[in-house]
Amino acid sequence: MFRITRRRFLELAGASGATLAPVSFVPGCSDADLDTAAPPAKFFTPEERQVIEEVASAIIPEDATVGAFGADAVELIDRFLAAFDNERPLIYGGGPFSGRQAYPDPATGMPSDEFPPNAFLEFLPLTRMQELSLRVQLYGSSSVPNGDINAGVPGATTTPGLRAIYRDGVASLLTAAGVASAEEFAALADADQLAALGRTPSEFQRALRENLAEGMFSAPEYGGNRDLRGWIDYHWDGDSQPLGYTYFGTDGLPYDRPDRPNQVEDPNRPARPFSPGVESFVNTITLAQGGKRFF
Amino acid sequence: MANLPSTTANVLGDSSLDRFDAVIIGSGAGGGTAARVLATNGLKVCILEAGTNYFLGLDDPAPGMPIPLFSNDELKLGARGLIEQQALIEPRTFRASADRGDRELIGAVNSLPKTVGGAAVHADMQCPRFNDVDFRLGTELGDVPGASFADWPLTYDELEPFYATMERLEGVQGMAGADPFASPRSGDYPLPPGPTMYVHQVLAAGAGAVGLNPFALPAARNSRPYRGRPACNDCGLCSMYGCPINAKGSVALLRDALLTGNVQLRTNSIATRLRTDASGRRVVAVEYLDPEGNRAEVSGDRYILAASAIESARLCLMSDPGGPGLGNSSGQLGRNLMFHHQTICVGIYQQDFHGERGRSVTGGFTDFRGVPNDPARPLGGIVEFGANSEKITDSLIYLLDFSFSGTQLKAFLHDSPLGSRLGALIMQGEDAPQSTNRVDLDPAVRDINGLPVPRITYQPHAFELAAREVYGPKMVELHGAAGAQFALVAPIFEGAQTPASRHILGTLRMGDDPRTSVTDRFGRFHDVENLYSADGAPMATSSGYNPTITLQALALRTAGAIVDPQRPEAVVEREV
Repeated sequence: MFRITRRRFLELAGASGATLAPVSFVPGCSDADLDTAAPPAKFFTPEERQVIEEVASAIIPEDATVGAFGADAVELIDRFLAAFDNERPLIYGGGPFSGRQAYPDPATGMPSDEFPPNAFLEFLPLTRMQELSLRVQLYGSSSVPNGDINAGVPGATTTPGLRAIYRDGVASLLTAAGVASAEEFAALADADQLAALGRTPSEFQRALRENLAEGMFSAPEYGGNRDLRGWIDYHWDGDSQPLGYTYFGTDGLPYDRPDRPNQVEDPNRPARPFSPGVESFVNTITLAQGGKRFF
Repeated sequence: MANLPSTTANVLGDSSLDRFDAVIIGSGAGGGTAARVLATNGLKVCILEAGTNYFLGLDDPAPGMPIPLFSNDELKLGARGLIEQQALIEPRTFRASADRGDRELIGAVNSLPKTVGGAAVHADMQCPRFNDVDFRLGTELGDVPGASFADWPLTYDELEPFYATMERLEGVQGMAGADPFASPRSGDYPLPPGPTMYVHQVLAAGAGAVGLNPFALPAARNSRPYRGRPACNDCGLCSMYGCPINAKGSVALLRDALLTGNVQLRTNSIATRLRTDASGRRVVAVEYLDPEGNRAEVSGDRYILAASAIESARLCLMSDPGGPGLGNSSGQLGRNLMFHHQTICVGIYQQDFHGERGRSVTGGFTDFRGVPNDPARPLGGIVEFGANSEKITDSLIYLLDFSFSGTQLKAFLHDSPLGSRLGALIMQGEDAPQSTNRVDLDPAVRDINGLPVPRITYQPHAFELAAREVYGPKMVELHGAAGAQFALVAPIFEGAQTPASRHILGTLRMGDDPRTSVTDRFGRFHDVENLYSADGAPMATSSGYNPTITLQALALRTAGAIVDPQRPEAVVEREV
């Protein structure tokens, strides 16, 4: 098996939102679906939410492509931290299909006009072990029996849980910025907000960056990736079932979908040079690792 | 008549069964395979699975397919690890060697999924066979200082019929003759190769240009409808993801086993101890934690370990608290732990490989498997052509690992140099077995159930590092020939402390001599007459190919020999 993991690159490094035009209707993911269930529980106070939104927008600003604000990335974080406050924990979406893609037409293999229901919204129940793990992650290792079983063993760590990390993180962010309120924090320049973030506990910075990536690029059923802008703007297709990318013709043989080729270059995503900053960075890490630049 | 499907919570198969010919621990690639052989021959089987079931209707005989609850959902299966062992509550520990103290790390170490179907669920199911020479490396290599190479107690020719059966039952796509280095086959693959990904096309062109022999790798993913399962539609998120349409053969054999009516699969059931009779030579029960965490137990005439090489060894050690471990008169239990030594060479291209389309890996080559005792062509391994299919993972490199923000971050997110523009060559190199690379129980660290956690002691041998030195530069040149702008060999273990490989082998080494091995040529423990191993644990050496089809062929043979010791090959392919 093969999967590119982030670990692979750890040593390589020397290392106000714009409004967005609405995208066209996405089958199977209308707000109507979400309206049928109770609204998901949230964690942040309005003040906390504003601070997190502000610093998230400094990290991933809006420009020609969507940023953290436009993608509503913080919504995913807000819901995750309160996942256990819902009737069923909103942590693992159901399957197999979201309804964003059509069933293939059995005659042609091309998209039909029939869409499956959105099973992603049918969140899965947790097993005993999953619940224990997620409670440790959110509420801390002292929140469950045996959660701190290894306390005192050299090298063992305990965690206060993400909820405490965020709550304390927002407070320390305001302190680091030398401001008393979300409103004052919002008035700071992006650079000053980021500088203040750099003086907060590293576990808060890590959690925020990790969860922002999830808020940008996860399926929208988790709260972020509003209008699929995270996927569309950054050229990632999103979930493709039950259509997939290969269809079987009347001859029984497999073919690429013309609109989303699998086996060849996609004319909508052609080869292109890297921007100068990116190219220079990649050049640096390549040479530092004893690699080779070919052109 | 069997009571199918089960209507009992946390039980699949016939919940009324209460006497078992065999108890299998683990429902993955090995356990599901062994269960099919036993159950289709009329034996009653209980399977204990630590994880839960995400294949609705897996035991439903009505026409139609099980509905997987898997999906193209990176948050669920990737970041939040739906089926993964959770290191927050079930950590492992690691140290490079015994002189580094009790441990250097507490956390995630080479864990495999805990779910019905095991690692076969997240595997992208590459199914190359091992070669005939791989079964006699002890003889071929002679004494390699610090390593413990050994011949297997069986030959490729003995295993070949089981490979062929396994390919038919699981639905392996491939083309006989495509791999110029493969050992002889008794027949063609049951399915032709499916479409190849764009990254495959580009890297195969580069491989051809430097004189290598790329081909479409065999894999247990339907390229056409087969045995009641649909053809793969190349949905994208494959490696590390459960298949949303059952095109992967992950639970094909397990489903067959359940449909016989002779199997009862208990989910969310964590085995904690094998209890023996007074002689210590016979297991009489498996103790486990039930779905609520309460103590329970189940008995059968025989017991088959299929929990993965690390967990199976751990269970033997937990079964003899304060002692050397159940079945360990040889002192070899837990030793010779092997991963494949992965040498990863990434090329950064101006092309966009759209890796979220296709089956994660569709091609590669075996030229770098090499031959014994030739320093110019050392024993490396199969090389896979990979693309990055995941978006959260890609963005975390820039957002978290590099801590970029603002316009700099946006440029990287937009250009995706380590995501959609990256083509990877990954070599699954032979990992020399070493007696000191081992699993034992950490002396202090416990999991949330209060059980001692496995401690992994591991460092690479000069043997695999030498292969890395030879083939790494050749991989860089391949990228150049394929049109990459940049190429580099990723740091060993991706720069981390522990190997990232999920190919976990050894620990219950098979052999004919009870003084130097734990299990015999049929996977039965030398010391315990009714205990068997049917996962990656019996393998004497790692070879340089993805191991799943080989461990399954061994599991077929082990279970077949339980049914008919004289002609195991005659009983392993019965229909349900």
